[in-house]
Amino acid sequence: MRDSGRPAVVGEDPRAWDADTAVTVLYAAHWRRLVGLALLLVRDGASAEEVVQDAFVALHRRWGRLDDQALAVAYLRQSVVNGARDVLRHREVEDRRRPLPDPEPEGPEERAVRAAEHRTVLAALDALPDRQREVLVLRYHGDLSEHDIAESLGISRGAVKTHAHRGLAALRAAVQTTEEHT
Amino acid sequence: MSDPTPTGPLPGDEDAAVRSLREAMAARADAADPGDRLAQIHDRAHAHRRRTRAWTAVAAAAAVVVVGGGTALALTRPGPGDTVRLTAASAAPAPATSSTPPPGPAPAPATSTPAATATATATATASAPAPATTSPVSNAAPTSALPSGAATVPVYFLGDGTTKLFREFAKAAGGGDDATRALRAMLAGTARDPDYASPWSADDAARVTAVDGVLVVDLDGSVAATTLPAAQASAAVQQLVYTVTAAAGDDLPVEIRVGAAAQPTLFGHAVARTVSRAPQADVQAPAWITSTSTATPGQVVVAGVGTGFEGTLLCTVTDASGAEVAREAVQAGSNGRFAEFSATVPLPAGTYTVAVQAPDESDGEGAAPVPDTKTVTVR
Repeated sequence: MRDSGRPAVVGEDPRAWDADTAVTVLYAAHWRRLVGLALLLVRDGASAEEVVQDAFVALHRRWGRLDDQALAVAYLRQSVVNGARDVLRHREVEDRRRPLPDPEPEGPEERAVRAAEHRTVLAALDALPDRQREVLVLRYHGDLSEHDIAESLGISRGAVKTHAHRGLAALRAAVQTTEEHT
Repeated sequence: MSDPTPTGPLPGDEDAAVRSLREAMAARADAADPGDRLAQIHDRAHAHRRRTRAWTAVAAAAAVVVVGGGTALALTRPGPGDTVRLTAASAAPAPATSSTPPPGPAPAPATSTPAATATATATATASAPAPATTSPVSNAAPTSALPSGAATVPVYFLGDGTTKLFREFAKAAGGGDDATRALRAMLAGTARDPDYASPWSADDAARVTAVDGVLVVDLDGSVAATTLPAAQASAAVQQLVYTVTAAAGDDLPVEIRVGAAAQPTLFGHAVARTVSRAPQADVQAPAWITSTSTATPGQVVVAGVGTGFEGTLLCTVTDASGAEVAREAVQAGSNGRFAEFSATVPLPAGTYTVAVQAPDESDGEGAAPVPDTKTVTVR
C-alpha cells in the first residue's frame, strides 16, 4: 500500500495527514537539515543518516498518538538528539575496536569544508566533551533557546550556560593557538 | 576544575568565536550529502505495520468485526467531516478518523504489544491464527546487519610493484551495505592514484555478510585465478580483509568463499578458513598521503597517516624535470603506531610531485622504500 504514502493532494494542516503523508512531507522539508544537525552531533555521515532515519520511522509509528501533530518537527529533532546521544554512548566502546586510525574521508565535499579556519574550529568542536558539543550545536546551529536546550538534554539552564561558556572558551583557545602556530 | 566559568547570557553573533563556529558548522552541515532514504523509511515503517495489521486482523476476526474493504484506498482529499482516509484499509486503527471513537483504552494494539507477540502472530493468516505452540525460534543463521549508506567507503590497494597497502575512499555506487560496496569497488580495482594497483578481477555479485561474528565474503571463481608469488598473494588477501573490515567498521575475522566453497585457493595459494587483519605495520605502507591542498598560492599542504623510526618520515618534492626542490622531515607515529602528519612546503608556482616515505636508514642495503606520491599544482 505504498501508493498511499504519496497522495495526489496534500492539505496544509498536519492534523489532517496520515502517517505516510506526514513522513513523506516532513522528509522532503527536513531530511537534509536534520542529517546536518545529526552530523554535527555524531561526527560521521553514516551514523547521522541512520539516526535521522530512525527518527522518521519512530514518527511514523507514533503519528496517531502525538499530542499535537503540528509539533512533529520538534518531535523529530528531539528524536535526533536522543538518537545521537545513544550513538555516542555506544561509540565509546566501539572506538577501542575500530580497525584503524581512519582519518575522515577526503571526499570533495570534505575538502571544500576544510578552509583552514573551519577546520580548526570543527576539530576543536569535535574534541569537546559530548555535553559541551551538544549544547553548542543546539544553540548555534539548531538555534534552540537556552530553555529548549535544557529540556532537550534534560539538564538545568545553568548547566546549559556553563557547558556553552566552557565550550566556547575551548574553541577560542584552539583558534588562538593555531594562529600563533602559523 | 575550579576555574570560574561565567554564567551570564550566552554570546550571540557579536562574538567572533560564535560567528566562526556558526559558519564552520553550517559549512559542515551543508556539505552533508545524505543519500535518499525515504523509500527505506517507508519500508521500515510498513514492515512494522504489517505486523500490526496481522495482529489487528486476528483481533478483528475474533471479535467478528469485519471491516469492509470496499472503500479502501480512496485517494480523495480529506475534507471537513470527510471520513474517508487515505489509508483507511492499510491502517485499521487509523488515528483521527472521525468514524473512530476517540482513542479508547486499546487503540493501535500492536504498537504497544511486546514484540514477541507481534512476531509470533505476524505469520498467522487472518482467518487461521497459528497456535503459538512454540516461541518464535529463529532458525535463520544469526546474521547481523552491516553498516550502510556511507557517502564514501574505504578501499585498499597495493602499491604498484609492492606488497604494501594503501587506501582510498571511493564513492562506490550501487546498493548494499558499505562492506559489500567497498568489496566490489576493490575487486573492480580502479584507484584514483595511478600508483595503486590491485590483482583482483571485478565481480559485481560479490558480497559480504556478517554471520555469527565472522564477515563472510562470497566471491566468484574468476576473481583470483592468476598465480602470484606467495608474498603478493597474501598481501592481496590482506587487501581484501582490510577493505571489508574497515567498511564494516569492525575488526572481525573474514571467511572467504569462492563459489560458496570455504578455504579456497586464491592466486594459486590456499587460504585459511578465516583470515584476520595482519598487524598494520606489517602490511600497511609506512606513509599515506591523504590530502594535498594548494588552496593558498605559493605552498602545498600535505597531510597523511604514517609511522616511522622515531616517528620520522621524509617528505620530498620534485619538480617536473625530476630535480628535488624540497626535503623535510615530518613527524608521524612510531613503534608501529600510525599517526597523522602534516607538512606545509613553500614552493613557487608550478607542477610538482610530492612524496612521503620512511627514510632509508640502511644506505640502500635494505628493501626499497615505499613512497606515496601525489602530483600537485601550486599557484
